[in-house]
Amino acid sequence: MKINSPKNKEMMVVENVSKNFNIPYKKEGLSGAIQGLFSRRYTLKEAIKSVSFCIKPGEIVGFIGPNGAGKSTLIKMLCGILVPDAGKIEILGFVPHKHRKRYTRNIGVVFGQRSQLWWDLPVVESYTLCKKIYRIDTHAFNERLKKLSELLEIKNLLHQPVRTLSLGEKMRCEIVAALLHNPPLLFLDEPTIGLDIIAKIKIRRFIKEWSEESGSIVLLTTHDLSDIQDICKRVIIIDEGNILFDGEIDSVIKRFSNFRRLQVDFFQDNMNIERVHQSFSQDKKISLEELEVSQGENNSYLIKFSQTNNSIISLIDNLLANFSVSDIKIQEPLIETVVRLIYERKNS
Amino acid sequence: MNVYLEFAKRSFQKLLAYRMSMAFRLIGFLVSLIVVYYLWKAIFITSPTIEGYSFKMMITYLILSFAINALYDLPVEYELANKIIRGDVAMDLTKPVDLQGVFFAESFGISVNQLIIYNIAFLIITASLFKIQPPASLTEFSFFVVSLLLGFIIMTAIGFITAVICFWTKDVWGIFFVKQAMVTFFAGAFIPLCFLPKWLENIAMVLPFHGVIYSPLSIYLSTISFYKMANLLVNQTFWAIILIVTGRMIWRVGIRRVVIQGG
Amino acid sequence: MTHYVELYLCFLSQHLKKILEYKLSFFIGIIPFILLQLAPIIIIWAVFEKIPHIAGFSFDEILFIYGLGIVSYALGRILFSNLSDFGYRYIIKGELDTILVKPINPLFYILASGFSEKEIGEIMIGIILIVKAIIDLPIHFGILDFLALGYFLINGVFVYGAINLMAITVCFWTKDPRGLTSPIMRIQEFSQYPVTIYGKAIRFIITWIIPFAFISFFPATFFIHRGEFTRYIFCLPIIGVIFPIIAYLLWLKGLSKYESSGT
Repeated sequence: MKINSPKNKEMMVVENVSKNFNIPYKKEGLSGAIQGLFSRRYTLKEAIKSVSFCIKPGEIVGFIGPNGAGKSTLIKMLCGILVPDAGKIEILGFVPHKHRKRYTRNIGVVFGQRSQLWWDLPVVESYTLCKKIYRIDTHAFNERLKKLSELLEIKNLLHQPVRTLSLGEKMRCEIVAALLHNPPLLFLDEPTIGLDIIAKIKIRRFIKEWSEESGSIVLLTTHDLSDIQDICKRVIIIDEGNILFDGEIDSVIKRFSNFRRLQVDFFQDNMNIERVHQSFSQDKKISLEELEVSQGENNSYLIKFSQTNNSIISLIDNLLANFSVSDIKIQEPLIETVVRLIYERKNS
Repeated sequence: MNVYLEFAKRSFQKLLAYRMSMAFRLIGFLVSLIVVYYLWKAIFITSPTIEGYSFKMMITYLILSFAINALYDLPVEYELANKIIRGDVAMDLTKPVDLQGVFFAESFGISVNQLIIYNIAFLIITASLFKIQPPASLTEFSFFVVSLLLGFIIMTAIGFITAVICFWTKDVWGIFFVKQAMVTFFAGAFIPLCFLPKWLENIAMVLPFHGVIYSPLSIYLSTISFYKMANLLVNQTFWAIILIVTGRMIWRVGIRRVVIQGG
Repeated sequence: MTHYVELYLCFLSQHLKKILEYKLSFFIGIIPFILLQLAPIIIIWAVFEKIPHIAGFSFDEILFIYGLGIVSYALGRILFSNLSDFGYRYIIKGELDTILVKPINPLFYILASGFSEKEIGEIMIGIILIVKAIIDLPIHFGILDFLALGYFLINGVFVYGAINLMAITVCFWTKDPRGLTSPIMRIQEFSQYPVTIYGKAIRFIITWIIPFAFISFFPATFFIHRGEFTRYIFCLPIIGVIFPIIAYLLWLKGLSKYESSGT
C-alpha cells in the first residue's frame, strides 16, 4: 500500500472552510410539537466561519476552545465525517469526504468518549479486527503490535477483556488500535478526558515520541491546557467558529496565561501576608516582580505570580522550608480564561 | 397516606414525559389487535359459538385484555430491581416510609396515568373500529371494577416479589421477561383460559395470575354464575393478601442480607 | 468483495468468542424468547382442538406457515441486530462517527459488527414446527424443496433487512432515537397467519407496501402446495431485489444528510 505523497510540503491544507447548521426551532408543549410536524422553522448556526490553515509533516497541533466553539465540527470535517459547506480541504492529497475509503486508510482516530474496542472481548481481539479492516499484513502487524504495546505498556493487558480495564489503560489500548496501520496522520479527540495525572503523562509522552519518530502529524483537541503545553509546539485556538489564534504555544503562554496561582494552606496560626513576602524576598531564586500575595479564607493564602520571573518549584521549596504548610494547590489557567484574555487583548 | 399520594402523583407525571413512546405503543397494540381480530374472525366462521363465547364476546374480551395489560407498565419494578442490584436501596431505608407501600403508590400512579391518557384513547379507537359488548348490568360492572382492583393488587404484589428476588440475582431483564411471559399467559391475556385444554386450564386456575385478567373479564362478560363470581372475588382477595405478605417476608430477608453483609 | 466476506467471518467469529465467554448467560438469554414463542403456539393448538380448520388451512398447514415465519424473522433479527437500536446508538450517541473514519462501507460495518444470538431458541422452535408439519402433511420434501427453502430464507432476510433499514433511516431526519422500527415491525405479525383471513387493505399493505408476506407466508404456500398463490412466488425474487435497492438508496440519502448536518 502506497501513501500518496503530497506535492508540496504541506500535508494538510484547509482554505476558507465554513460550515453552517440548521437548528430546528422547537416550540414548547404539545401544540408546539404538533406544529413542528407540519412546518419547521430553522435557525442558522454558523459553526465554522471561513477558516484556513496549513499543517506540515511532523507537526503536533493542539486545537483548543470552549465547548461549542466549533472544534469538533472542524475535526469532523478533517476526518471526512462532515462535508464542508464551502472552502477546500486537502489532506495527504485527498479530499476527505470525497475519497473517504482511501483517505481513512491513512488516518488514525481516537475519540476520547467513544470506544472502538470490543467491550466483552480481550483487547487483542479488537486488534485482529483492525488488522482485517485496514488489511495490514501479518508480519507488519505483529511487529507494530509488539512495538506499540511496549511503548504504551499494555503488554499485560492484551488478553484481558476490555471491560476490566481502567480508563487510562483503555485509552492506551485505543491509541494502539488507531496506530496499528501506521497512519501518517493521527486525530486525538479529547484523549485525556477523565484520566488521572499519571495516565495523562504516559499518554502525552508517548504521543510526543511517536510523532518525532514517525514524522506523522498529530492533531489533538482537548480541554486541558497542560496537555497542549506538554506536547504541542503549535496551537490553534477556536472560538465561535473562528480561529482566534494560530501559532506557537509558548507565545500563548507568555502572552495570555503566564500567570499561575498557588493556593497555600498553613498549619501555623501566626501567618500574614507580610511574613510570606519577607520569606520570598530573602530567597535569591525568587523575584518579587509580578508577584502578589493575598489572603483567602481561614489560613489559606493565594500567591499569583508570572512564570517569566518565577518557577513554581522555587516558590514551593521556599514555602516548605520556612513554614509549616498543610496543603498546596496549583491552579492552572482555564481555557476559558485564556480565550477571554485573548479577546480582551484583541478588543483593546 | 399523604406521602404515598405524593409518590403516586410523581410517577404519574414522570410518565407524561414519554408521550411519543406511548403513541408507538398504542399503534403496536392496535396492530396486534387487528391481527387477532381477523384470526378470530376466521376461526368463528366455522362455528358461531365456542366454549360459550360468541365472536363479539371474544373481541370484547381481547380488547379489554389488551387494555388491562397496558395498565401494568414495568418502570416501577425495574427501578426497584435496579436499586436493589446497585445497592442503592439502603438509601431508601433511611426514609420514614414503608417501601412496599411506596411501590404500590407508584404503581398506582402509573396505572391511573395509563388509564387516563392511554386506555381511554385505546378504548375510543377500538370501540369505533370493532363492536364491543357492554356489561350485562350495573351489578356485573361494579363486580368487574372490584375484581379489576383486586387484580391490580395481585399484579403489583407479584411485581414487588419479582423485584425483591433481585436481592439474590444479578440480572434484571431475564427475570422480568420470564415473569411477564408467565403472567400474561396464565392470566389469560391472549385467550380466555377456558379455551385451553382442561389440564392447562386447571393449572392456570390454581395459580394466582388468572385474577389479573381472566377473572375480571369473566365477570364483565358474565360467562359465569353469580355464585362463581363471588367465589372468584374471594379467591382474588385471598391471593392478594398471600402475595402481599409473601412479598413483605422476602423483602425482610433480603434487607437483612444487605444490612448484615453490606450488599 | 473477498475482503468483505473475510471481514464478515472475522466479525462472526469474534461474536462466537463472546458467546463462549458467557455460556451461561447465553442459555439464560434464549429462554425468554422460547417462552415468548410458546404462547401463540399453544393458543393455535388449543383453538384447533375446537375447530377443524382456519380459513381452509389445517392445523399442520398453519403450523408450517407459523414455523417458517418464526425462522425467517429470527434469522433477520440475528443478522440485523445492530439496526434495532440504531438511532440511539449510532446517531444520538454518535457511534456512527467512529465508523465513518474507517475505510469500510459504513452500512456493512454496522450490520457485520453485531449479531444477536438470543433468537437461536426461536429458530429451534420454528424448525421443530416445520418438521412436525412436514411429517404430518401429505407432502414430499425433496432436495429441490430444500434448495428452494434456502433461497426463500435468504430472500426473506434481504426483504426483512430492507424493511428494517427503511424504518431506521428515518432517524437521520428526525434525530430521534426511535425511528419507525417498533410500529413497522409489529406489522410482521400479520404475515405469520394466512393473508387470506385479512381485509383487502391489510392484504395489500403487507404484500406490496411493507412486504412481510413475501418473507414467510408466500414461501410457505409453495411447500404446502397452495396453487392460488403461485403468482406471488414469481414476484418474490423481484421484491427481494427491489426493496433492498430502495432501502439502500434511502440509506445513502440519510447518510449524506448526516454528513451535511451532523448530530
